[in-house]
Amino acid sequence: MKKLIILIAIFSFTKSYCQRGIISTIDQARAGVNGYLDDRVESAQTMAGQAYSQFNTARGLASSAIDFYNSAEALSNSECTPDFSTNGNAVMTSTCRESGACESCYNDAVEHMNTYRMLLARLNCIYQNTKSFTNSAVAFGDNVAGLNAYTGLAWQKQRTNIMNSFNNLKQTYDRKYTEFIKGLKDALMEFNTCENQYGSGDWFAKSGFIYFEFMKERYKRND
Amino acid sequence: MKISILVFFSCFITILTNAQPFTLNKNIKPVELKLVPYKAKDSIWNGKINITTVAQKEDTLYYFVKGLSIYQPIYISIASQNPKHKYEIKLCKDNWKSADRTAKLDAKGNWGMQFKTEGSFGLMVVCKEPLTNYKLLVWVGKELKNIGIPSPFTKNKISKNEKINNTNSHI
Repeated sequence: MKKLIILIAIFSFTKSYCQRGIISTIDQARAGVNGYLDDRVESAQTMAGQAYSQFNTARGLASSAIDFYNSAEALSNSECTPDFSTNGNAVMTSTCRESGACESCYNDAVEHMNTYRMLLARLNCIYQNTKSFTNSAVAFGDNVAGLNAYTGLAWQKQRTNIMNSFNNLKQTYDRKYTEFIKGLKDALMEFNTCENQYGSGDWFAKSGFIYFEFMKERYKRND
Repeated sequence: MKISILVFFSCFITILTNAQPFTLNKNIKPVELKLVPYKAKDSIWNGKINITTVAQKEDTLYYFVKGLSIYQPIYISIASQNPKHKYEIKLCKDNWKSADRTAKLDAKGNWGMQFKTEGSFGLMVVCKEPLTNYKLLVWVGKELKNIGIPSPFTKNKISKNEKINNTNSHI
């Protein structure tokens, strides 16, 4: 009887093991010299089947990739997303905007300005996300390290490395901040040139300066 | 305990620079979904794509995608070849334990979602069946240079007289 029970147990285990298997097959499509993805939408469609149809349906609802992007939300609710709002006191005036003669001049300046607005916003988000992740992890480490003296010592060493890494990020932030703020000012000065030529004289001192100071303050690291 | 704490801290340092949700579980070995160039019929949809065919035998498989910009649109979809199988799909940002989004397949065995994120994200596919087959697609659009950000200009124009005065003062 005892032998029978052991045999049944072994049989059940073996059957379950064989049925279930232990390794899944994960086959990723590749792009190589003869890769089927480059320039070959049809093959991607064939490869992905219904998953591709889903994608087609989703993008069919959007008029453009920009529309598609703007209708999407950030993955995490706590994730920083770029904020492009402007304080009411910092909005700028322009005479050039709808004037045909300076439209080209204006459009170039605005494009440059928006490029730096996007770069500053992204830089800020990368910093804020990393800061929040680091703070919560360090707090967790400090709690765990209190368990005993040995882990406490080990943690202190690792904690120093983590903080050094974060301090490096701060330096990188400050360096990039300086670079992007300068780029923003250059773009505003381009706009100033357009305004001086076609519209309001001394535009930067009257209007652009306030916006520039607002942007400097918004993205300046304060920790 | 000592070892596991040390392993954790070593892993943590890696996670600061590496891009996948954090875990202490050594059995979790996420597969990177590598993106390859994708040229669509309409160039506005050009970008990168990953198409993966999976025969899943474990309860849970883990994937991650890295190298993303907050200015890129992202779409992910799963199409099961076994529509009756129940899937639990989790999208995770910082760690595998707290999912940021969870979903299930629809009646036809499909699921899709669009979102945006910076850096990376993780995907968990949970299915209790002994074997289930599905296709997984991740599309990442080009980084958009113009996302229609609000103008910092007031809609009020400077009066015509002021404009003329200013113009004259420059002549």
